[in-house]
Amino acid sequence: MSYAYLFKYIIIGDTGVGKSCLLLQFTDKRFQPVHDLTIGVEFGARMITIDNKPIKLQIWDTAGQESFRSITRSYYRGAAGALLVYDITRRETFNHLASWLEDARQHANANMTIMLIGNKCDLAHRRAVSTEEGEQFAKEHGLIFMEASAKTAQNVEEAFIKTAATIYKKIQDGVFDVSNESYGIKVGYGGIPGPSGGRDGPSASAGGCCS
Amino acid sequence: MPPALMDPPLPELSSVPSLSSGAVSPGSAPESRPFGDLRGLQWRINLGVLPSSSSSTSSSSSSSSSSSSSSSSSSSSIDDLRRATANSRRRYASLRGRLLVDPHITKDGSSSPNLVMDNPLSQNPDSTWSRFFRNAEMERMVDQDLSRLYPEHGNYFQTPGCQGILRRILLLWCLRHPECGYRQGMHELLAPVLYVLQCDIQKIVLLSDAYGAEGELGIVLSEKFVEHDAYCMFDALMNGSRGSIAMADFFSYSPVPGSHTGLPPVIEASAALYHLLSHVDSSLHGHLVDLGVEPQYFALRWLRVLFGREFSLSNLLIIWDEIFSSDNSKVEKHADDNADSGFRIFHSSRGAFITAMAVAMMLHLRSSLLAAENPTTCLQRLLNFPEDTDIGKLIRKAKSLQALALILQRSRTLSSESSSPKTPLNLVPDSYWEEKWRVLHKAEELKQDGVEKQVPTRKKGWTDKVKFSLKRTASDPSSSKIKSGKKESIASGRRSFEDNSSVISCPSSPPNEAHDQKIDSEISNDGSNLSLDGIDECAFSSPMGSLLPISDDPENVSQTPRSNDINNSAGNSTTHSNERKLNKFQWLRRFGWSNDECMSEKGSNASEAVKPDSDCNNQDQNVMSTVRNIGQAMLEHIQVIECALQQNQGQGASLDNIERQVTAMSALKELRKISSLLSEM
Repeated sequence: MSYAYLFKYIIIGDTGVGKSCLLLQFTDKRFQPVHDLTIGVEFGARMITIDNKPIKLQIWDTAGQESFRSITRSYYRGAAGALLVYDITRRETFNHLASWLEDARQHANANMTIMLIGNKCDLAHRRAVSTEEGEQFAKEHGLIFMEASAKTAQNVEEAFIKTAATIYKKIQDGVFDVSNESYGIKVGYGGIPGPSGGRDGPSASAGGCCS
Repeated sequence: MPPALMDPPLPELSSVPSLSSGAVSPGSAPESRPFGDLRGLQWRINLGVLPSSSSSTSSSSSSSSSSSSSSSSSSSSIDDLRRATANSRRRYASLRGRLLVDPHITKDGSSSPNLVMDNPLSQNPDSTWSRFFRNAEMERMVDQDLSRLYPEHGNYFQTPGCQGILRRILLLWCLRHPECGYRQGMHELLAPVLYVLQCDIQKIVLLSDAYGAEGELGIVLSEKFVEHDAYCMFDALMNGSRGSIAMADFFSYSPVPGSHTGLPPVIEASAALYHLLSHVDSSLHGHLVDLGVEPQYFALRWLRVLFGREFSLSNLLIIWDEIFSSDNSKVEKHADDNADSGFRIFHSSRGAFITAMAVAMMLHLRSSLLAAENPTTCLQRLLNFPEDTDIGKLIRKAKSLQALALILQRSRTLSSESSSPKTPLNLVPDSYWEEKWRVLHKAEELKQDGVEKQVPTRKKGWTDKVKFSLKRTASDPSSSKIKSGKKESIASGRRSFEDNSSVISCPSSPPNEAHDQKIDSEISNDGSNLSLDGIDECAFSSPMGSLLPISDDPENVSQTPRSNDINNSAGNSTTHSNERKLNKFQWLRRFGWSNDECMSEKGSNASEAVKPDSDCNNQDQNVMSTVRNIGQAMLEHIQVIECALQQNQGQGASLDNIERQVTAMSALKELRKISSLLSEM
């Protein structure tokens, strides 16, 4: 399938906050109450439309346990967007946000768009982190913020799309040199020719199989 | 109460084709695996928890039927098993008593002797209470993961009984190994182990007629001690029982002492996987590297939980059968001291199998990976392995790759030892190994097809026996010995050859008659497969033979043609280029209709080496001479094998070794018959 742009996302956050469930809800539109533990990293992809342009999202869903951190750092490479997730019913997952953010700032490119997601907002009766605190943290660190629920699908679609829209706008504003793939953006067939005269997307980059 | 197992508990082992041995008759399975249908018991032996006895050492790859002695020797080994079982259970019980503290209960019933230190608010890290709180923290972590264990098999793994056992084992292991601690994925290594033990116990209960409920195996396998036994197995798996592969390493982020790469073990092992792939399929390797697919992106999961996520539980158990039955002792004794002895994972045949399995999986996905245009798509495919995979085929592929991995490791060790400026391995281009593997694999596939078409034949039997013996030589840790004592070994090899030739003239077992006839008819059909298979495997058996003369003395080569492998018999590697080696394979493929330069040279080598046989003339360029040459080549390789076996005999005294050698020798006898048949054509 052709796309105008291809964005790489990475989902980060403590173990058990619902990263994989958010991804599953976004890619498959379903919820799995007990999701397999992520070991290392898992992958998902979906097509969305922004400004009438087809955009392909490739999502790297990482393991949350601290012990994976030293390995997951290389996953940031070439990510255009990040979803930083915490669980509104578990205070400690919110407390760890700063260290996740530090990781992200250190290993990702500076223009990476970060979306903060307070997940499990359907469990309001067990809430341990208020919406205001989440907003405050996002404001302080220049993140986009949303509360979402992978279970009810509330705001899941929106979170992924809003992140993409922000990245798209940055492209329009010329923040990125889209011909440089280290920004996590790739221009596809349907894309606007970039400064370099338009990089060809899918097939041109295939390389290797015929050579 | 025993937690209810999911039903059916296990695929019946007899319905699983005996993958490793290729023995087609289901009746042979119990012979090669004395505890074949008691998987947990077999694993405990393979993992080194229980002693292996003469009746149980035959690894799964021994296809020989000569283990009829198992019943006679089992009575003594059962005592050993019992003793080892009791000791391991005792250790676990004392560990549990020591580490799983509950400060709420005081042992003697009186109040705690030191309330100043032992109170819930104590800041002292050594106080019973702070230990208790630390444990509680870890317990919470473990529980969080355990609640997500095998959701699809929740009716067993999610029962309170099972969760309790898993939790205690993990906590104890992590407390016992604070340097490692709890890491996600450990529980998925433990769960199948516990499951397998439970299945064994269920079977024992069903089999109570045969064994007696309180009978011999009832003591080794007991519901009461399933937790103890599972801990010991898990511990052995994590620590490697002094072997090469310790799963705990894959959870660690600091390089293992002595690692020359300085990388965390799991990253190094991932790199090893690409290393092996680059030798067997450089185009796939190149494609993945070009796309920026780093091996640890997917191999981290493959390795940490030993493929637990990639296959269904029942298939996983079959794969673990193979992994655990591969020897975990270090192949090269000096490997650890050697700064540049390659990837650690190749140091044992178990590690080589794990790597080979991973590469076999990648090759299985080859076309879809090559079609993928970006890294994420590749990774998605690699981490969603198709469920309908023919697991037997995959394992067979892995086995042939395992042999190659061990050879690569070996030639690497040798090359780093060699003081010669010319590093032998460097003389061989990447494509050489790739080609080699292709030929081998093609033969393997063809053979498989042949077997599927026909009812089990003798042919299958002998090729496998030969293969088996060759693999043994391939993994035999005697390379340095070969180096030093090469001349002697050649001499003894000749001697044994002569000895054996008299044996061969004796009439042997009755089925051979039919066998010979079959050979006659098969020669024209798939004779090429046979020879390809045999020859290529032979080539595996002695790469050091081809490498050593190079570093020693070029003049010597002509004197030692017999220890050279097939590549050299195609052309001495000192004087001839790699292209010649490739030519050799092309020649093999075409079965020798062209390229007679290669041929005649080989022929002359062969005739020099094979004195006892009739001298041959290679002037003819017809098919007959080709066939004759192949016969001679086979003969040549028989001698190579014999050489190696002779060395084995001198070195290994274990009953196991001798048993394998007997098998190998009998296989050789058969191979010799065919070669003489071919030569006479």
